[in-house]
Amino acid sequence: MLKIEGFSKSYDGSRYAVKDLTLHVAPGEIYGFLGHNGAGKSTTLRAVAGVLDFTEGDITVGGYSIRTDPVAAKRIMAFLPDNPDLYDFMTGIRYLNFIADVYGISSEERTKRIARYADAFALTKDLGGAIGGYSHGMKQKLALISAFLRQPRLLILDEPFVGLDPNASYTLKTMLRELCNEGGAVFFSTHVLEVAEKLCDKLAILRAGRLIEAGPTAEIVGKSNLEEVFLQLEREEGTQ
Amino acid sequence: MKAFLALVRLSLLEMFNAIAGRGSRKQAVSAGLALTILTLLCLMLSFTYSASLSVGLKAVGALDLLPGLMSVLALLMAFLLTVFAAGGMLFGGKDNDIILALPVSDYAVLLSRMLAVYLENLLIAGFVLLPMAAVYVYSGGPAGAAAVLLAVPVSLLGSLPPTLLGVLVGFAVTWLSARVRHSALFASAGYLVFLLLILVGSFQMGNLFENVGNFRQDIDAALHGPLFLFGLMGDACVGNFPAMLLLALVCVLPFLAVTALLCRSYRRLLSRMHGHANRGNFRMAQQRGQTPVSALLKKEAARYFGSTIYLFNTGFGLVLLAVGAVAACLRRNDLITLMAQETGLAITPADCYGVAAAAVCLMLATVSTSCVSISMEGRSLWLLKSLPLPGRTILYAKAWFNMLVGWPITAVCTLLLWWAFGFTALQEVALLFASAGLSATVSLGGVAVNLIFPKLDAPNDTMVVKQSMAAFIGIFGGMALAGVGILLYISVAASMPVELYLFLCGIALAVLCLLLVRWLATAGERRFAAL
Repeated sequence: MLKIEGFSKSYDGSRYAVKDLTLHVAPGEIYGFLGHNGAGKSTTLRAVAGVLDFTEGDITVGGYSIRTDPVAAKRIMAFLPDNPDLYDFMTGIRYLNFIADVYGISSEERTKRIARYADAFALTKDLGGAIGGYSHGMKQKLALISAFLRQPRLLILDEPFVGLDPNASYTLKTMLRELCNEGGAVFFSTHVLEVAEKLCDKLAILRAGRLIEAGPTAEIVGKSNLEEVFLQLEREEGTQ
Repeated sequence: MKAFLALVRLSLLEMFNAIAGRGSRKQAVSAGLALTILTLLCLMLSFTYSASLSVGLKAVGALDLLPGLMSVLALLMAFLLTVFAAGGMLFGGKDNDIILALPVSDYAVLLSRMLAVYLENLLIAGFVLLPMAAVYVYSGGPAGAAAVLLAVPVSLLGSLPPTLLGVLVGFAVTWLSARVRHSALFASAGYLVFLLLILVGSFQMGNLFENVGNFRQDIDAALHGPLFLFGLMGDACVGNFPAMLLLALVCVLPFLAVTALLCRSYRRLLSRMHGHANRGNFRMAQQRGQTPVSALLKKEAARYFGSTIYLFNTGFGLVLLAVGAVAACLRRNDLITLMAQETGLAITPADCYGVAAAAVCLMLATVSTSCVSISMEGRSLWLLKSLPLPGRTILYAKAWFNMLVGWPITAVCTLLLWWAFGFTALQEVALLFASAGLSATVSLGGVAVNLIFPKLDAPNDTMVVKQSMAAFIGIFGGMALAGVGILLYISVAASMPVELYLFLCGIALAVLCLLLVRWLATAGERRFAAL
């Protein structure tokens, strides 16, 4: 579903935010992306979503290159950045209709989907209000609804659990698993290691722009727990 | 005091970044060059206006009125150009949470933000008063060369009242709009009414300026009576030190006192403006779909009409054009008489075609919503970039919206002018064709300018719309384009029928549009992806 091959991103031509990253996310997988602040997670996710240009390598989504065929690649995925800066001047329902229009979702279908997902995230009553008046959590919920509204085959999420209340967090986890059970895939970053350990089929750990570990969660964690493994890996890499 | 100075430094830094950007050296150099050209152009215009007024005043032995009258003009212009920005600068900050959490008084926060409005007023007052003082000295005014030096403190003091008035209007409109549901719409309507009142007042003042010889006593009495502020400015400019002292008192004390009063409700108003309101009882109903391009246009419209400063700064020319067209219908003969007086020629309605075409083009050229439309995306730009649409579609939609705002209203205005002055059908078609070409060029060119000078991290809309380099180039560049067309006609093509010249201009602009479309589809799309 998602293939990142030799991906590198440099902002100034000499120092690399991410260097030579290769990762594959298969259909049906929830793939967690871990790393300390500034490790290059958001840079990678933004590049996958086609929001950020990159220096080397290639990224393909469902066989479409984000570099040479970005429109086809974006059509089958949805992206949620770490801070969902949405259009404050729109109401929630207007924003969802805007997304549905751009993705060519029919009137009947969008009505059904908006009703379903807004209900799931308990945001229906607030959809008539201006986004500028939403709290951070409400914006996060709206961004998630707009992502699921597209029924993407690949979901790219940057810190999706930040700001969500426990109910919404549970709903999101359930919906991510449902998406994968239907053949979709999820690639997301998080600092909440407990969530990553429980939810992810596979994990990748990034440190200072380089991949230091990747594979099935069970193999990486082994008999320990993810927190210990993560801290151990960080220490080992730090001493090298 | 230290905290206040830190806030002032922050305001200045934000203003500087908005103008010069934080791009490459090459970008900074081109921004500086554009700014220099604009500054020189403004000084030249101001100098020319002062010089022509001084000639008229000298002829009727009223040269001493020049400083007072130009003070009126300076303060009116300053007020008019900053009144829409004041509300945004004071209340539109995205950094309110950070600033208000600092251990500084509300008074210091408010005063530091007012400083940004003051600096704009000072710039405008300086542009009017300094050339005026030079003209006054050159024309043999009694104060001699000192008048130029004295114009500096007069500008510094004289910029305080329009700042205060602008802030008061901004405060009142924000206070009222915070209490209604469609606050942006309410604020825009309020400002529109206010703008129309100002325009009517300006026209009345224009009549006074034209007939200054007849009203010499009245003007003098007004400047030393109800309009004493302008009188004081004029007197201070020519070396009257008691007047300078009184001016300082009249300007500074109310400024500080009213600021102290306003700061009492500043935090409360900010909380009301940015609080988590709008908890509603929305009920899901059948939704309706539309095409992606329609959705993009609708989004642009929501952004445009949702921001008073965006609406007025880029739609100001349209308001003037509409007022002018309606005035032409209602007071056609007065306008013709005025033109006959100015030119000393016998003018018939049909002779007005050239002037009308020039006015339409100049006003339309200022309607550039697209020159800041990318910057206005701000931190939401990721949204557009993550959509499954080619970059060029997004860029074209921004240009289309600009045309939809500018051209239909212009077309209606040209029809009104056609009816008022009795132009021929061919003349009307030529004007429509040329204005469509100009509108398309300004729209596409605006997107191109914004791609070259983006400003995505501004703390408020005002900074993007009023102080960014793209806004300067987009709006003044459009006017320069129209101005070059007018000058070319006057200097080399005056023997050609105006309608033929307009057709040729339309064709030239169409070619320019094609080049811009090609640039946006190639280099423009690459720049957009790299933002």
